[in-house]
Amino acid sequence: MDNQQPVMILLVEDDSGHALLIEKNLRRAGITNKIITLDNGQNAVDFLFKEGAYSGAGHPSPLLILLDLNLPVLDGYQVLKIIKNDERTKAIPVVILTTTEDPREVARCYELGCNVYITKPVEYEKFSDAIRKLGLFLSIVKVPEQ
Amino acid sequence: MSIQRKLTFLLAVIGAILGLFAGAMAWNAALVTAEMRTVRAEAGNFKDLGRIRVFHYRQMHLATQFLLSGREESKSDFNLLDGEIVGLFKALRRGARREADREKLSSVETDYRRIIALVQTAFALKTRGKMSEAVAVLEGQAEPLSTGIFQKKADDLMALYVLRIEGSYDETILHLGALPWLGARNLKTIDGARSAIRYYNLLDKTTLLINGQVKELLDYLIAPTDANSRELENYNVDVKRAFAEWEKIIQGQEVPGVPGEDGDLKVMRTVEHAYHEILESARNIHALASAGRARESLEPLESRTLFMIDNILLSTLDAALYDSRKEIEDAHNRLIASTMTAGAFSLAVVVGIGLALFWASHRLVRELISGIQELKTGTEIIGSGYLDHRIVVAGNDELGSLAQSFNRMTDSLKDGNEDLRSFIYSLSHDLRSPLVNIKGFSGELGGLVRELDALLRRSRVSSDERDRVRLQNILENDLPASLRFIVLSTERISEHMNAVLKLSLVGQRELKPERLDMTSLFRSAESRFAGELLRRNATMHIEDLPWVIADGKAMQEVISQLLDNAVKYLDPRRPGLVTVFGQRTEEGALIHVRDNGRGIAKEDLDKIFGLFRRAGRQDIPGDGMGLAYVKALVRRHNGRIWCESQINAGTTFSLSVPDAKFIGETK
Repeated sequence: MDNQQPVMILLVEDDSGHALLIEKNLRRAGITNKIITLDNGQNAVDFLFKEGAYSGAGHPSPLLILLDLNLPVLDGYQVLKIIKNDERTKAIPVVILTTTEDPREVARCYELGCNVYITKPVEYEKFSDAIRKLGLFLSIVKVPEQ
Repeated sequence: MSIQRKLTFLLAVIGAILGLFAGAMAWNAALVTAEMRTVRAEAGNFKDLGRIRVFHYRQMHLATQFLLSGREESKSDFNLLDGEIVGLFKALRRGARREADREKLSSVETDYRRIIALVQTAFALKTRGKMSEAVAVLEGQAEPLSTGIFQKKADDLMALYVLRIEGSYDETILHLGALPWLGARNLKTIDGARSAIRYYNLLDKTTLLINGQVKELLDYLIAPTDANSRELENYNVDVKRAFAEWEKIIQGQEVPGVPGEDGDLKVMRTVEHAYHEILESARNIHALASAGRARESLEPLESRTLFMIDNILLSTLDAALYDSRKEIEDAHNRLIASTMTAGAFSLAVVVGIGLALFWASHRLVRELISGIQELKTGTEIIGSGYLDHRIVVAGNDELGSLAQSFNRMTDSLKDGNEDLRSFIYSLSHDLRSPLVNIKGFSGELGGLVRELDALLRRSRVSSDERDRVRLQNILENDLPASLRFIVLSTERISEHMNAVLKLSLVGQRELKPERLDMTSLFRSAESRFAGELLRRNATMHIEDLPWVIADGKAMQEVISQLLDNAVKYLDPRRPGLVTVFGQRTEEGALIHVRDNGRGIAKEDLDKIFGLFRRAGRQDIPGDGMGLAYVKALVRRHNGRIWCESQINAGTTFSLSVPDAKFIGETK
């Protein structure tokens, strides 16, 4: 992947601590893309479709979306559903990042079209490991052209 | 006392009441029959005594005739009648039901014998030609006795019989009232029989009157004086009145069971005609006597009159009496028959109603009991924690609505349970987010400390040796130690939350019950412990185990947890031995896992199934969740798990799994 490409990663996470930890670990894995962090589901949807507060903005679509499930206003499931049901955003890979381990919720996310599901482990090592692996994965996978 | 027994008792009481009712009916029918037999017997006595009287009148007429004419036939007829009368007395004595009756009877009989003895004396005097002495004995002694005390006693006895009969009829009507389906027809029969008895009595009275008149007539024939003639005419008035009354009764009666009106009138007319003819003869005799020609016409008139008296008047009366008596008897027989039929019919109806009632109650009781049983079973299943079970009781009755209320209660219980479960779930889930931060930033801090240490080493900022040592100590020891404590604590919190989450999921997972071969389940679990057993110099012995109906995955977890515990806590000072054995019981299966490990102290036995509880020395890793988890799984199967142990000797875990829980759910 060309690091100079002006593509960005969208992180939707309401816990700023988690957001910071995720960003730090992605950086450690060598991800240099711009990371935009939004703290609620509605903002994420507005950002993607350039509506509401983002009406008329000229930013490009993100390379990847990292999505938490427990979000205010619109929750992760609703955001995922909107993304995967719209032609404009359907192709963007979505990685679900959450603390939930419930197998029924995992299954539901895959049903809605998420591409990867990652549980946030409490153990710091495992967590940073997981994020770093994701970063490595992103750095070698060619993202489909929009 | 159970409801079933109470209801059975109630049924028995109802049955007893019906039985008593039926018994009372049968008793009444029997009483009616007995009363009818009494009436029949007393009517027979009445008739016999009546005949004795009629025969005795004839006897006395024959005696007079013999004295007048000296004909031997009269005497032999007299003796013949005597034979009849003696026979009737004998029958009466046999038929007398009471001692008092027998005494009265024998008194009448004694009088009769005295009269006969006197008549025989008169006969002897006549034969010897002592006519006037013979007449004196007959007229002066036998006759007064015959018409006086004898008739009086006979009258009393007749009245007694009638009283008895009337009393019996009253009783009968009372008893008939207690018997349903005995309609007016039977009461009419009774009325008929009653009138017949009255008619019969009237005949007897009329006979008495006519006989009195005939006696006067005979007196007059023997001594045709003016005085006697006047008495004859006076008597005639009474007789006429008697005939009038007789006719009135015949024409007034409309009841069945009595000789028909036409037949009765015919009898009455015959008797009346004979009477008038006799009276006419007597008047003729008087007229002839007044003209001084008595002697010449006396002979033919006398024989004709006596013939009339004997053969027409008294015979007809006797026949009428006899007929009436037969009618009464027929009526009584009919009454007895219909009473018996009504009694039997009533009995059958009562027994039928009783059986129907019993059948209906029995059904009701069974329905009730099965409903209650259903409720009981359902309550037990739900009570053992299986909140998805619902009680099905058919019907819109109280039991059905009780079952519905119970199901509603279970619904809200289940909702509450689920609320609690989801509360625990979301609580432990929500607590994880901050934990991720604590751990994440602790890690970051750790990294920062290391980075800081390296930077400081490189730059050697402080020249002061003491500060440098202190800084090094902070960066190498104090800070990492603090961070380690933070990390360890969050790890423990995290472990506990994971355990609670897992436990709350036990209740949510759907169980798939099937028939499981516990022997092979334990054997396959054993193979996973092979290395551990070898390392500890221990052996495991699995006997033939019973089958169970349970969820396969749950049972595998239970088995591996129990075996893990048994192996983990073996005592290294002696060769370890784990034995698994079990048997089928009435409810299901019973399985024991016995080890000769370190054992559990008595005071710790209660704790081991609790959350995060671990007993004894904490030298072996474990989260204290295993047995709590096992207990939750076993409970979901309605089973029971318990433990017996002796410190330093070994522990036995016992597990019971009932079949009943999944009956109907097993494929």
